[in-house]
Order: sequence, then structure tokens, then C-alpha cells
Amino acid sequence: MKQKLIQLKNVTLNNGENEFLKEISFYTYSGENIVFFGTENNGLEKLFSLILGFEEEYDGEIFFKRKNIDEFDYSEKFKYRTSIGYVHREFGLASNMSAEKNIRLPLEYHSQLKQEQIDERINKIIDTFNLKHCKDLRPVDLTHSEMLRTTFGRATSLDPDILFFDHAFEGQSPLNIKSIMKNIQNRAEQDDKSMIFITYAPEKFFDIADTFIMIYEGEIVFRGKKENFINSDNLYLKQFKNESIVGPMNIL
Amino acid sequence: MLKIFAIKIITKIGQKTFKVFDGISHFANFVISFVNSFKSLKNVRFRSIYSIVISQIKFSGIDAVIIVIFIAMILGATVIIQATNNLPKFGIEDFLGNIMVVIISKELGPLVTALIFISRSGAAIAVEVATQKQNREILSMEIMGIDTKLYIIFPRIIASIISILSLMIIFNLAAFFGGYVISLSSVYIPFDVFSAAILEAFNFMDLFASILKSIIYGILIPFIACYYGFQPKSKFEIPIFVSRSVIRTLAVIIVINVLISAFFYL
Repeated sequence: MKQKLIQLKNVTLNNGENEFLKEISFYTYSGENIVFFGTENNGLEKLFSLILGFEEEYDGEIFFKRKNIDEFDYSEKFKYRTSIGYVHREFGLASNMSAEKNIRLPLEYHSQLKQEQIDERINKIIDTFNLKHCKDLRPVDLTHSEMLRTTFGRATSLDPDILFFDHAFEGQSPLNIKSIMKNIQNRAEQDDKSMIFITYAPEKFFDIADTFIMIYEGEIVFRGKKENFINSDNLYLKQFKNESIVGPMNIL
Repeated sequence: MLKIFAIKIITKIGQKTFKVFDGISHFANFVISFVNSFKSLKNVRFRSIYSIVISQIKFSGIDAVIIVIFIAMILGATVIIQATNNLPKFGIEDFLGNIMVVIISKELGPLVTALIFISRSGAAIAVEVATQKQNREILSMEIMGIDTKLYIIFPRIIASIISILSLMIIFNLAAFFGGYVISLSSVYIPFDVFSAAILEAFNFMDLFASILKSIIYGILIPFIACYYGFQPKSKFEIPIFVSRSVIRTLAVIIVINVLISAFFYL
């Protein structure tokens, strides 16, 4: 039975001067993969920090597995975050740790597993992402794709319900991230896991995504399935797909 | 004209005072958030913190031994030479041991050790945390559900307490006995007389005060360094906050040193 993992109800986020998100509502079921896209500085950037509870002043409600995240106590808030894996373009790998130690970190911090079980899981991740040759290197000595694969490995080490990709594949060589794309494909087939992609290139996730949502000036201006994404007459979507500066969106 | 000048001065003083109170309240919030972070201690596996404690002890403690011994021997020798040359002028040469314990063990030992620790490890902690913040490493940890206040500060405090206490003991031994050896080049005191004078002058209170100082410094130095490490909003601000961290930790430690000495010995 599919369950609602994340749900946003009429969420508005502003800092008094700027309105970042306006009346945003959406939900994701387990097994569903959503792509958020749009232009720069139009609210996409705030979506993730909002879902993870980093933004405290907002209107509306955010639920995780039907529980309002505002009701989480101090420890629950941290525990909730272990249900979400995060991969972003700046990687955020701990610079004083090797690739392997980076992947180990969430497991050693959170999990009740014994050391041998952790070792086994880490070895599996290292194999899956072809990181054996560089597992002892620190981030400064890794290539871009190795950093991305390490970040992905780290994000999946706790086997989270949702994986969040924040512009993670932009600026990457498609050949070098093959193992990641294969892993994403495998994950997309799992009924109990979800993925959320934030990107400027939604077409890259065409084979994986179930739903496409476009945000402009903090509002949802397009929402649809694959077919809608291809056939829709939505002017915002058309302008985006045509990479045109003429249309309803004011491109600076 | 004078009135405008007076208003300007008062406004400036007001602004400065407000800034100081603002800074204190910001620091107080940081302290509260650190104390709050202990709520998540039950979720943390010690194995994830253990390696940080060990690497911090290595950098802050073991790697600092040579410089601490070097400075302690020079200072110890200076104090011994000055004392043996000047105490007889006042007819108090019998108090060599007391003078050594008072100057080196009670005051210089803890203070100089703390100063070395601040300039080496305090600055390094502030830079490390600030860089981690700018590289979004700290944000990534938070996203992984890691309570960074606890994960970053707590092991550094444990490591600093162990390191400072050990360095203080090493400083005292090096200052007394290394200093004694160096001072032999200019003055001669029989070793048994020297060591008996030192041991006689020591008491339990001195030991307790030294341990207390090392614990307080061990908490304050990494804590203030981490506080300033968390502050920069851009890479450009890192040197500003690291410099602030060093200067303010120095000031706080000197004041604390005076307060503890006054509490124990006045």
C-alpha cells in the first residue's frame, strides 16, 4: 500500500521583504518520483530547506508520513532528516575525511548496526559506485564524478525513504556518472522509495520521473505527468522548453 | 558645535554598547543551542565521535609537546636565574621553592599553556569550522541528521581538556627540571635542595587549582573558537572571525586566570 511521504499544504515562505514560495501544495507517494524545475532564483532553492525543517517561519503545513514536521521535538527533527538523503551540486563532503569515511559517517553516527555490519554495507556501496580505487582519498583529490558518487553513496547509506537531488548532475560528464544513473533507475523501480529532483534540465529525468512541477516566482505554474510535459500548451512550460526569453516569464 | 560633538560621542557610545550587548546575547544563544544539543546525545553512537577526539588530542596535545617544553624550559631557567640572583638581596633565598611554585606552577604554567593552545589549536579550530561551514559541509551534516553543535564542539572540548591538562603537567615538569638544568650554566643549586624546596612548596590546593584551570580552559577555548568558526557568512569573513576568536579567547582566558587565582589564593 502506497503512503504519502511528504505533503506540503498551502505553504508560503517569505522573509518580510521577499516572497520565496506562494501557496505551494503538493505531495509525494512512496514510489513516486518528482522533478521540480524552473529558472534561477524563483523559489526552487528554498524548497528543500523548507522540507527539511531549516525554515521555521512559514505559513501552511508540511507533513512527513502524515505527521506535521512542526510537531517534531528536538531529537525527532534530527531523526526525521535520516529519512531523507540529499545530494547537491556542491557535494558537502567532509574535507578532513576520506571518501570511505564520508560514506561511513551517517551510519556510524546513527545506526545501531555492529561494526562488521557497517563494514559490509560500506563495501557494498563502494562497489556499487565504483569507488574502490579512491576510497582512501580525501575530497580534494577526487574528480567531480567521484565526489558525486561519494555524496550519493553517503546519501543512500542509511537507506532513506526519499532521495533529494538538488541540481546534482549539472556540470557532470554523462559517461562518468553512469553508475549513478543506473542506481537511480534501480531505485525508481522500488515501490517504497521516492526521489525528488530539482533541476534546470528536467528532460534528463524523463525515464524516471512520474510528475513534473514547474515553479516560477514562488508559484507552481505547471504540474503534470510525462505526457503533459510533452504535449502541454502551458505558456511557461513552452517558454522554458524553447529556451526563449520571450514569454510570460521575465528572464533577466 | 560642542552640543553636536557631544551628541555624536553619546551616539557612538550607545551604538558600541548596543553592539556589545547584541554580541553577548548572540553568544548566549549559541551557548543555549549547545546545551540543547545534549538532548540528541542519546541518539549519537560514541564511535563517530571517538576518532575526532583522538585526532584532536594528536594535533592539540601531542604535536604541541615540543614547543611547550621549549618555552617552559626557557621560562623556568629565567625564573630560576632571576630568583637565585635576586632573592638573597632581600634575604629570602629560602623561599626559592615557593617562588618557583607560585610563578611557574600556579600562574605561568596554566597561562602560557593556554596561550600556546589558543594560538595553535584555537585558531585551527576556528579556521576548520569556518571552512567547513563555507564548503556546506556543516549543512550536509545537518541534513544527514547530525547535530553539528554536538558533533563538532563536544569532542573538541573533551580533547582540549585532556590536552591542556597534559600540557600543563609537561610544562611544569619541563620548567622545573629543564629550567634547573639550563640554569646550572650560570648558578649552582644542589638538585636535592632544589627538588625538596619545590615539593615542600606544593600543596593540594595548587593541584586542584591547576586541574580546574585546565578544565575551564579546555571548555572555553574550543567553545569560543567554534562560536567564531560558525559566524562567517562568506569566505571573505573567515580571517576576520578567526582573528576575533584568537584575541577574544586570549582576553577571556587572562581574565579567568586572574579570577581563579584570586578565588584560590586571596
